[in-house]
Amino acid sequence: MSEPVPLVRVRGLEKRYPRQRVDAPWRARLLGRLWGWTGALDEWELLNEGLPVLKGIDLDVYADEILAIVGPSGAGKSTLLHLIGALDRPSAGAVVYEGQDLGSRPAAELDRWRNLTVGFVFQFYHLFPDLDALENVLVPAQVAHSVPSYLGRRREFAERARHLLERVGLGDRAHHRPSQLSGGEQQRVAIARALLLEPKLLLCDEPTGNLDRKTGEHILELLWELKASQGQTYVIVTHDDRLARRADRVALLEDGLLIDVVEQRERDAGAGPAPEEPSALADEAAS
Amino acid sequence: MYKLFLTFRYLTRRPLSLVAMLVLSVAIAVLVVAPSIMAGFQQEFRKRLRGALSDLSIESAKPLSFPEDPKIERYLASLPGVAAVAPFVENPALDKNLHKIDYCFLRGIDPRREEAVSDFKGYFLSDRELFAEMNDLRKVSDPEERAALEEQLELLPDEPDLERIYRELEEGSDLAPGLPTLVCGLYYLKAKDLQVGDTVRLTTASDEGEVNEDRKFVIVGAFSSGRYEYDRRLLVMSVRSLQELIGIPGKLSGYSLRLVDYEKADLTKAALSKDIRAGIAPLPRGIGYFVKTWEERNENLLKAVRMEELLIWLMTLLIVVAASASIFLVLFMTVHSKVRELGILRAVGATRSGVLVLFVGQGFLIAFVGMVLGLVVGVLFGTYINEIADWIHSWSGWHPFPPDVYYLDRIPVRFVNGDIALNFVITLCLGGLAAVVPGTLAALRPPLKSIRYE
Repeated sequence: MSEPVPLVRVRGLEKRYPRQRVDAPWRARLLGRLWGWTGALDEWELLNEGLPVLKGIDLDVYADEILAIVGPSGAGKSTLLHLIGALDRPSAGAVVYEGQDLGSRPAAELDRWRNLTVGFVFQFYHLFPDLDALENVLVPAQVAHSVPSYLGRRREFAERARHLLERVGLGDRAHHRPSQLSGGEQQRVAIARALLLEPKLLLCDEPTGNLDRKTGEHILELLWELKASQGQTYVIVTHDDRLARRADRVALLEDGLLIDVVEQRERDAGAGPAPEEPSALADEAAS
Repeated sequence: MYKLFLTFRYLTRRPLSLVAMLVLSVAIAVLVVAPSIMAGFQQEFRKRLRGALSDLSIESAKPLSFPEDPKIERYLASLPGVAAVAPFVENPALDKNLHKIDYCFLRGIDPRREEAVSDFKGYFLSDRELFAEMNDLRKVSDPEERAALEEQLELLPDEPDLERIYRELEEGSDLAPGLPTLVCGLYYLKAKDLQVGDTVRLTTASDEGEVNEDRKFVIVGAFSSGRYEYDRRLLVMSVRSLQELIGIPGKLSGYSLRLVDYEKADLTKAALSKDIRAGIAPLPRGIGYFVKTWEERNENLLKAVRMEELLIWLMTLLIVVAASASIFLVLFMTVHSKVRELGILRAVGATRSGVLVLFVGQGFLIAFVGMVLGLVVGVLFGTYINEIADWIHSWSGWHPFPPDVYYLDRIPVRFVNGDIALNFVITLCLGGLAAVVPGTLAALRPPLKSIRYE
């Protein structure tokens, strides 16, 4: 049996966050202060150095696995997750998804890719307060489709959204607004939203971090249950020991560096840890 | 799809946006109505101003020394654009009625020819109108008294007997044979407590400055021009009577000219001035001449009205700017309160331009709907403003537009399409700008910035 090919390869990944330079022009300082407009600072190349958050990460994510990323606060776990989901651009190195370097693709294409391929679950749920649960779940489909195409498949989407809400145990709360739902319920809605377009990759940023122990337990059960039935790839950033213990593999991050990857379950049909492939890596990292 | 849906949701679940929409529509309605009323007033005002005066006049620089000469009349009538010519004499006088000295202005006209150069004919009051005015019928509140007056009113003729008035102006009245005659304004009658048929005593100075003897005149008719100064101080008589009173036989103040198109008064004026300078005009030399268009004779008044119109327009524009600022604030606050949601939108795959379109579109929508609403309300209000005023009057008894203050029965409204379109475009631009700035800021924010922190 051939070696499983990683779904996502992270190679030499570095991320530095811009720090305000004392000699930055007043306009940049003002914008940075008022609006956190650091992206623009980056583009103007005002800062070549910054606060390093990731200092060269090499990591593979395989299809159909649950990878937990653990580490102390400030280790760069969330940053790594965001870079994998192309919410941000790396300062150096590459994130390669199915053989394609995300860094080389235009922004609009990345947005589309994120829409169809990645589902995000955040620590603070991040639902739209003006929309009810069902409408919240439907947002990715609305983003993905133009008006006529969405309206044409409206029933299909609504049915799927209802089905997902039922799967996460909120079938009877479809028309409640987030403010009328508890934290655990909101997180369930967020999970249903992330799964609507059947993404291959589910990226969860501390999904239980803001919930009490029992509710967190329920969310974990739900995630594993969904994983078992749908077979997606999960990358979960967590502080939660219980969660980490149940993951297929655990990546330990510390101070921007990958310290260790622990195999906790046999992958696929007993294949051992994937050996690194230095030649291919070098190519992709160079691109 | 999400743009449409989220716009709809924000609008339906955020009453603040609807408030901004309403504020804007009120502002637009004001911006439509106020200048329209102003334009209506100005039009009405100009009409009256022009009506009382002729389009163009030629006067001698030294008062009362213009020769009365058919040759000059023929020459003036032959000028380009001239439709009619009529002589006039103007002189101030003292009015010594009731042992109280008052000043007034005398105007001598040829009544039959005056018809052709000014709207004076239309100002004569019929007996019925005069009766109603003199008895202040509008203010009579006792229904019985009112009914009695109205009964009398019905018996009076509705049309002024112009033929009689003209004849009596020219030949004297049968009531007081031998006395010269005049017609006066409504407010003159009211101020002096006189009736048609009464006599007044007038004094004027001669050409050399000697005070002439008092003369008695019989009032044979009354007019109402809509301009208080005229209706209070102007006494109109025949050219002949006034020449006799002042003692200047064969002399006039000048000639009034009516033009085919009054907007082209400047052309005729230029032709006439050129002829005078070149000596072609059959006018005696040695005395200077003034040629004035009706607008020049009322320059200050017209300027004031125009300035007023501009000021009102500017003020209403400020209201619209304020309303646009409210859109700006609403959108800015929406963006601020939705920073995290925008991050999520980006996280679920919305593009940067998509977020921009979402917010700018929302601003345009608020601006556009508000404007259309305001336009509809404004046009309806402007169109039915008189009905609304009547309704307020009948409901509360208070008259929002008292006719005896403005001399207008109806509130004049004139919609100037160009002005309305200009206001519309300005508002749309301001609303768009108000939407673009926060929308751009929203779109430029890196998505992570919005998501990372609670």
